[in-house]
Formats: sequence, C-alpha cells, structure tokens
Amino acid sequence: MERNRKEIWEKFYANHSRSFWFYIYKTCGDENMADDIYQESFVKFLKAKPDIANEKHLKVYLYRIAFHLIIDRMRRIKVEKKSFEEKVHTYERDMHDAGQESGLLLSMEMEKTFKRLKPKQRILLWLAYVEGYSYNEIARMTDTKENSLKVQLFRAREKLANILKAQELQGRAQT
Amino acid sequence: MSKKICTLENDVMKGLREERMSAELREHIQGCPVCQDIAVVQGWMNRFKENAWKTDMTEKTLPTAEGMWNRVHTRRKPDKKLVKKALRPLLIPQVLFYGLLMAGIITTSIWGFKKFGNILDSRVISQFLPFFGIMMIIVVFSLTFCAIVVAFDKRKHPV
Repeated sequence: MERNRKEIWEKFYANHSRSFWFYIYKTCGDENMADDIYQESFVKFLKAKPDIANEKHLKVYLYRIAFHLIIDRMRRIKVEKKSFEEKVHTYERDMHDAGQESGLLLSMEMEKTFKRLKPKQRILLWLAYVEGYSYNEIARMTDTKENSLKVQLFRAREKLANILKAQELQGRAQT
Repeated sequence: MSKKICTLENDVMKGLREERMSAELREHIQGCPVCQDIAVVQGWMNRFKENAWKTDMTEKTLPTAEGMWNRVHTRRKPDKKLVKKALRPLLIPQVLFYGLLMAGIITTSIWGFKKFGNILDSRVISQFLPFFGIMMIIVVFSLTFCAIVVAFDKRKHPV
C-alpha cells in the first residue's frame, strides 16, 4: 500500500513539480520564498495523505495549500521591491558578462508589469490564464465563492489590461 | 455598469492559450469589449510565461520526489505504542529498584527509630551515624536513577 502510494507520488511529482514551482515563483516574486513555499506545500500535502485516486483533485488540493502559504507570507513579509532590485542588479551584471540581450530584459519588464498587481490578483490571473483552470476549480483553490471570484478576476484582468494599454500608448508616443 | 462577463470568454481564453481560434471567435472578439480585454491579457500572459520559463526554469534544480518523500516520512512523530514497547525492558529494573528502596527505607526507619531511642538513652551517637549515611546514599542513588529514567523517557526517539 505504502509502496503503491510512493509510486503514485513520484509520478505526480514528476508531472507537476516544475510548473508548480514556476507558479509559486511568478506569483510571490522571490526565489528563496518560492523554494520555501514549494517545500512546505509538498510537506503539508504528503502529511495530509489526500485521496490519491484523482490526479486533478490532488493538483487542486496542492495549489490550495500553496495559495494560503503565498498569501500568508506576502502579508508578513514585504520583500518584493528588495528582491526585484537585487534581481535587476544580478541580471544586469550577468548580461554585461555574457553579452546577452533582449530576452532577459523583456522578461524583466514583464515581471515588473506583473508585479504592479496585488498578490491575489497575480495568483488568479496565473491560474486562469496560464494554468487554464475553470472558475469552479480556482474558487476551490482559493477558498473563494465563485461569484466573488468572477468579480475579483474581472478586476484583475481589467487592471492588467489597462496597464498594458497604457504601456502601448506610451510606447507609440515615444516612437 | 459595464459588462463584466461574456458567455464565450472561456472559449476565447482556451482558443488563445492553445493558439486555435475559429473564425467565429475572431469575429466575436471584434465586437465584445470583455473578450478584447481577455485577448490582450491572454496574449500577454502567454508571452510572459514563455519568456520567464526560458530565463527562470532552464537552470533551476528542484528537490527529487524521493527526497521529499523521505523528508516527510523520517520527520514523522514517533508512534506512542512503539515507544512504549521499546521502553518496556526498563520497567523491570525500575519496579525492582523502587520495591527494594521502599523496603530499605521502612527497615532502616524502624531500626533507626529504635536506635534513636537508644541514642537518647545510651549516648551511642557514633553507632547511629553509619545507618544515617546509608540512608542518605540510598536516597541520592534513587533520585539519580529517577532523573536518568525521566530524561530517557522524555527524549525523542526516531522510530
């Protein structure tokens, strides 16, 4: 039984670990914090011994654990600005050393834009637009009522769309 | 109040995410402000994910599944039944020791009281002192033993 659980766990981990870390990292914005939350989520997940029959159910459960950890950490620690500045410095140095260009800069610019949203808005947008979850699944992951979630997601989308439109206008004005 | 939800938004999101847009959906987007916003955001999110994946994930190493599994299962709290079973051999000397100690204390006390009466009567203080010393040694030893047992009992055993 235990061996069977372990095999299912290894398969589940192989399928989802990288995208899960990526989701945490992009929504919390700090690599060390992402590592901590990632490990803590899996430890809690394994300790809870959820029903392992349904992989989709497992994934929702895992993302729900991570959501609460991310929101909790973001409330306690205001690391975003500091972490971002450190990252810019490291990237600039690396780019200077390696002679690299646009890809990293573009990524940095996009990250900067994404960070103008609130943590929960980032999470909702990521789950809906990158992971492709339905309203019902996101509501379960974030312990939010579906109707309330629709409004929150609408506001997040509207805010990001406005930022992007403003950037586009600014870009056109400069050229 | 502006329109917040479109019935086709899920189809638009899916189509844009998977880059499979039908002509109908394209036409719908032209006239729907909700879906226009969705298209802007979905397109941007796709590019953001692709760029970030290249820069953030190519060199990122994560813990192995085996490592995570072991981390959780070696950290597990000891099973109380197993701890009790492991400590069972200690019970026999413990009970024996307390039995002997009690017997010793009772005997010595009775004897000591008799002697104490004699001391008061017959001035033989030097005869009482060895018994008092033995009693003290027994008490000190028993306290030390108890302290060791308690300390051992409270230690966390990885079972």
